[in-house]
Amino acid sequence: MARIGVFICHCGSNIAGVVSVEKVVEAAQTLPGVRVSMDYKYMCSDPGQNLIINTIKEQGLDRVVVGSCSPRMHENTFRASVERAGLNPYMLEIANIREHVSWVHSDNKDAATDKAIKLVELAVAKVRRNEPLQKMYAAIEKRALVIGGGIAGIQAALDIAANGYKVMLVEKEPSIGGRMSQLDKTFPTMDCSACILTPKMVAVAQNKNITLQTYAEVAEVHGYVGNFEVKIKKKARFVNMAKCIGCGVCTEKCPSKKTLSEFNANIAARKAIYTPFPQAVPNIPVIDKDSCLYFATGKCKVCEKVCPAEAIDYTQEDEIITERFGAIVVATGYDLYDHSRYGEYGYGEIPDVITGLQLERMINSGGPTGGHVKRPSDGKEPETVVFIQCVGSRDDAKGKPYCSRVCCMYTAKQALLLKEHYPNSQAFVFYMDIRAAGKGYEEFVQRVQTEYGVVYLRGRVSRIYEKKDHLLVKGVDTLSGQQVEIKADMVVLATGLEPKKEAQNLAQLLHIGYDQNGFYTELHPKLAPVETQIAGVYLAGCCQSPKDIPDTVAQASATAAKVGALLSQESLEIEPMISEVNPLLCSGCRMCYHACPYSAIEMEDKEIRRGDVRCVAKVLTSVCKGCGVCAAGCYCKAIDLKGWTDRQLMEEIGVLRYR
Amino acid sequence: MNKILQETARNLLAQTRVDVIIGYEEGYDAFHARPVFISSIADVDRLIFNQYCTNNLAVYLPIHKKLKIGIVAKGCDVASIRELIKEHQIPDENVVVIDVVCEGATERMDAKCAGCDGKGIKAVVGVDKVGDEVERFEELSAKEKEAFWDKEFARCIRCYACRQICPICYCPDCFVNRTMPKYLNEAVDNEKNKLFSMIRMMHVFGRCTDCRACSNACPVGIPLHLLTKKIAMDALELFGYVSGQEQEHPFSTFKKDELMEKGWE
Repeated sequence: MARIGVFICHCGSNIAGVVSVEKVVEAAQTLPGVRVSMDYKYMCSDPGQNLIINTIKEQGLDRVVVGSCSPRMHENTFRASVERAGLNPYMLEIANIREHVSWVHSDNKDAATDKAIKLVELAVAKVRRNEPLQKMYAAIEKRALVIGGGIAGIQAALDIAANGYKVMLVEKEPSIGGRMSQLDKTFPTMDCSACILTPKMVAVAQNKNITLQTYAEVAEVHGYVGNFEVKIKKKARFVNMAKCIGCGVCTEKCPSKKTLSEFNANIAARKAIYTPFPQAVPNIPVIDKDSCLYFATGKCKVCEKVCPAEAIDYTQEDEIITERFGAIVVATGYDLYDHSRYGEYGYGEIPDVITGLQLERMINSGGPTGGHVKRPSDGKEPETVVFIQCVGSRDDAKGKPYCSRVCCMYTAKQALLLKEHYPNSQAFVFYMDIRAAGKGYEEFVQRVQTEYGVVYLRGRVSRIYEKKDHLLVKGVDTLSGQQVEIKADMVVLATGLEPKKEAQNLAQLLHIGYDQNGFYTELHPKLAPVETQIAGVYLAGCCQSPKDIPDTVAQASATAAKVGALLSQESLEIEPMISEVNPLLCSGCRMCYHACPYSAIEMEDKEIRRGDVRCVAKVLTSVCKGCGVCAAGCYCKAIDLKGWTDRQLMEEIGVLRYR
Repeated sequence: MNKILQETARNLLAQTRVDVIIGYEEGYDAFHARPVFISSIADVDRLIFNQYCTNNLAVYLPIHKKLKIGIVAKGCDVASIRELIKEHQIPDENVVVIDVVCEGATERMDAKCAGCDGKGIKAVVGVDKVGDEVERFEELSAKEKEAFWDKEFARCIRCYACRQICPICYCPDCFVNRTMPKYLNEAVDNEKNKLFSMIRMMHVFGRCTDCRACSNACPVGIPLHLLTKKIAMDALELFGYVSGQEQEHPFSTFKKDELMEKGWE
């Protein structure tokens, strides 16, 4: 007969304030197999744990039930205490009488006590069928993958490499650099974005620990923490990277001029063979198959003719490489909100209504206009510019309830830059609230208003009218309560940040979650802000939530610390609560094989009885996550989830049946 | 017809393309047929096929998965064979299907053949006789439904003939026979009787080809074909799935946005 000890926690008044703990203790006493039942104010405290340990030793207990908070909170704590008392740590069950009882049933104390008793009864029934489980260990692949080559990915890769681990940095675009490389200056110190970013990009290229894969995408992810197997699709560049010397003659001579440059936010054209920007790393062009004349018509081949290094290769094909990693950092960044959904701002059809990023490219001296701000309609330099904030941010009607955090600051920065470039110009900013909660941010916004005379109007714009040679911006200034009409030459929209279009696909590949806005979900909003619910996968930068460059860099460095801590271990402990196949009962139908989301089931020929070889399922212990899908799908009931076996669950059901 | 059948079987055995032919022979009189296993050419003449050959012979395939088998199959049995191949119970290359033209029902086996178009293809939803019956049944209140099945299952003697005759019920050890844990008491009482069939239907959902062998085999005449028809109709309605076809089982696949597409979320 089992010797079970039941320990009920008061959790201060968290549990005891609602549940009659004495009644639960009393009821537990009478359950089959229970030798001792007691309560304590804080079971997780040192004296509380010692109480459990001493009682186990004194009473010779072999199984323990703790009635306390959620197992997510303290299961590991109590497993450790049970282990210290000399038992197998898995001879423990938790009855969650806080989250599942006292916190949710404070309105009915009697019923709450009844439910607590029932839950303890279930746990006692289950623990009777618990079996000792042994922890397992797996080797770690001491190598990290960083997905996304923006400032977040660059920083993470550099920091992981500095810790002495090998890193592969995968970037979708032909060059690393990301959004930051598109910016002109950075708030609030007005450093030139390229000046502080380019050295880091070069450092990535030169670092021996970092392998760079540009123009590549993650196609498949298998495995688990410490042992991820990742398939990476290297898109055909049509340029031999080993031969190319980066002279740029091909780009110069390419006759295709119609494609809009993504890097320049679609305000200028680019060639079919191109590097996104002059400081690109690697400085090797790609041929965009969709705009290349040769691929469209079969004629042209100008780039091949002019290339001095014979690096052009039209026969290249997409290539899939398979690599193994111990940890993955996701730093996929953001897209900008498409303002064509705003009717009041002209559905994106008024040429002189541009986005902040487009202004950024114009005002940048390396941009297509050479640093001159020119109206798209007639190329005139604008004198009066209206900035509108919160376009696709804090707007429930557009499905974007969140604050994009950077728009207040980048608008202030752009208004300042405009005034510096054109001292005669005048900027107006329509805002909802100014959110400038960073170091030196508030001072910066104040300076923009007082020193640069930018007029801030608290209110929204109701309509932009296209007049003959100007725009009429109608809005309201809620502070004076007056309607405002501004005759503007150009309107700049501070479009908000949203997750990358492909973000959800990547989340599916990695099995990580995303919130209602599509941003990846961290494990805990406060205490685990860079981890995900998948061990070994970490988040950096705007893929997790909108943030500015300092926060992004800090988060990226944090992921590197996490990756370092993971990869420095010799081996990894694996949870033993995983599936197990009984080959005698397996019919080999492969339901589990198809259903397993982790590809943790293999089919193998096995001698079941002497001379009887059958093809049966086998669980790859190090890949199995213990989700139980296979056990649920197996109609032959040949699969059991250890720690959650049918025997345990049937015992629990038995308790519920005779209520 | 029998001549052609016997000739085909003789050739298959002679060419050693199969080790054994599973077919029908005459039973204790001319109005009954029973399964027969023919492994020598000398016995080939025993093979017959007529309207009394009701059994779904696919049930023997998983038991003899190591042999090369020629199997006499009516249109309705072919779906079962296909399902078994899909579930890896027999290697595709080990089975030779001897397709026979079924002329349909005798009065004794109306449940099995109702709605058959003569080629062995039953309409899955609606129009056929059993489908209409299920739809009429669905209109009853929960109380009336319970009363109906209470009355039917009161006769059940838990002989498990339904399970034994079912080609899809090939589990090495059925859940009712298991003792650790004991999933279901073996005692014959109405609740347990109903529960057994309910669990069996869950297990064969999306796999049962609605061949109605169980209904036919039931010695006390419980209309199990209503249940098998219902799950076939559900599989089609909920998942667009028909057992025995080249489709992946809906329970073993997960499609992004599937719940949303179906309006379940």
